[in-house]
Amino acid sequence: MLIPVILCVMIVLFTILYFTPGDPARIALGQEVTDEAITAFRSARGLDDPFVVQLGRYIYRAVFKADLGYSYVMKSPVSYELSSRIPMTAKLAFCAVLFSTLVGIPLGIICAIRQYSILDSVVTLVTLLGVSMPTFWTGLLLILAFSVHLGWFSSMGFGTLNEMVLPILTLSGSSIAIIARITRSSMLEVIKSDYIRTARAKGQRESVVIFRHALPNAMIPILTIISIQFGTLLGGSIITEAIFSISGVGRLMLEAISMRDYPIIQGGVLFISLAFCLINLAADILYAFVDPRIHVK
Amino acid sequence: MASNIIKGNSMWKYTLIRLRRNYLAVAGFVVIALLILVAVFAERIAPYGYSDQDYMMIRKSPSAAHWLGTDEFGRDVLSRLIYGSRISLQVGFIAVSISLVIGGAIGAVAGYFGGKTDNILMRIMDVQLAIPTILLAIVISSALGPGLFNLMVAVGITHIPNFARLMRASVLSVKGMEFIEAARAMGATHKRIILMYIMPNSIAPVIVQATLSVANAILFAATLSFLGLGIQPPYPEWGGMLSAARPYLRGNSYLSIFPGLAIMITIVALNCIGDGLRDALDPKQKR
Repeated sequence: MLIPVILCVMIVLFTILYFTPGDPARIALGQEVTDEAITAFRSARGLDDPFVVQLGRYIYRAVFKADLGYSYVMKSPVSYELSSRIPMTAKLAFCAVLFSTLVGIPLGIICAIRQYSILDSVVTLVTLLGVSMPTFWTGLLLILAFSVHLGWFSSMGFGTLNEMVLPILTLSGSSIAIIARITRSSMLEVIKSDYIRTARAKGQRESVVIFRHALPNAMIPILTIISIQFGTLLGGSIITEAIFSISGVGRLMLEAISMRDYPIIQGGVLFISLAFCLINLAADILYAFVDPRIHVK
Repeated sequence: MASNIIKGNSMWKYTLIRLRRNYLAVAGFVVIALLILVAVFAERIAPYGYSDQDYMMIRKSPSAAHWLGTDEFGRDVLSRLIYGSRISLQVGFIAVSISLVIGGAIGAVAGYFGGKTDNILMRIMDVQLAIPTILLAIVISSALGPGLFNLMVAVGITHIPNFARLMRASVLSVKGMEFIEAARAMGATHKRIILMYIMPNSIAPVIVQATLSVANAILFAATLSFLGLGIQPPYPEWGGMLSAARPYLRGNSYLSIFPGLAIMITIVALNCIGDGLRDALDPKQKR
């Protein structure tokens, strides 16, 4: 399913941006050029060909030559621009997923074990706020508190450990909340089942009951939400990168949007969608390891 | 004959009773009702116009005259927040209506007819789901250009698959039941069966999804405006106000706090309503 989906994503993106008003030649060459230069540029890039021909050429080059076209503004191959920015975004998204998983799952488990306790109420309230805060506002507040007032962490870049703290917190904020919520409800469902009662009845220690009997069986919805969160985080990295001036794919795309540099936008969205699909595929495969009843077909 | 029918409590009455016990949901309803009032009567409530500039009052902290302070053009932040509620609510409700109608229709048709139709429609939805939603919203709104209507369309399109999938699932769950067969036996058309028999039975999950989607749509609208793609200045949009406040984060932090607070309160209220509705409409399912 992966390959046709990605091909369709390419078609959709190409179509949307093809029909967007604005002449690529004007964008690339600026406003003050002769008509001859525009005509030459258009024929050199094949911009006068019919839509289907251009689409076909784009897909052919992307699939067989890993060539995503040229940036109008930077005059360099899109694949080059992207590949120089991908490591940064990958690092950011990966750290954020790791962090939100490591915090979100334990929080959810604690809430499920101590249902209706004060801790549960507090965490439920905080997660409610967490899913309701816009990423960019979380980022601004974190900068305000930890960078402006306390001066603990840097608010620019993503190189050193000190610089990594705030972007990761910003990006993972809502994911922590969502993962904690799903973990809690999934664990609650499992804890109420008969085999957990049996495990307790035979005198098993509570920690073993929770981590050996309950958690693996509660894992499927948690895995699903983590893989979905990966997509949200990849999308959210645009905002985080903009706030913290991180030169990743997201910031590249934002700059491209303001300059109407369509090949870069196409390439960036395509890359992120591909990454997202691969992660979902990985999650599908992981299901089979977590739950042996599921067979990978 | 009609008068002999014993009137029992309807599903909605029970839902309302359960909903009233959920304090968070009630609080959410109150907040949203107030917000709608504020948006409708913005001209009367707002102490100043949204673009009234006072050059003697540039970036002044909250005071008696300007409760939430003034921005970099000497405009009253409170008034701008009040006018901004119009944008957020409009985008939230209209964008979700767009996705509800289109997504609901796609899901209903796919689920009802099944087979090839179903396969094609749902694969299209899969393609859309492969692109992270906020990215798709960014691409569509950058293609459409700025403006309120375009913002609604961009946010609306991105939420279509949620409703399509939900509608399809609930159509599938009632499609095989006897009352559908009875309707068909009586000669009802496909359109009539879908609209009059299947839709009313799938309404509960759709309402919950719609409430949560309104919250999400408002977040999206704010995010797009923050990135400079949604509503253009001078009209106040909460996300846009935050974007404008960024350079003054160090000196005038209140400019970055109040618009965010407005967004958060709205979203929290909508999420509370959504969660409350879900519990009230489906009491079997424990949270």
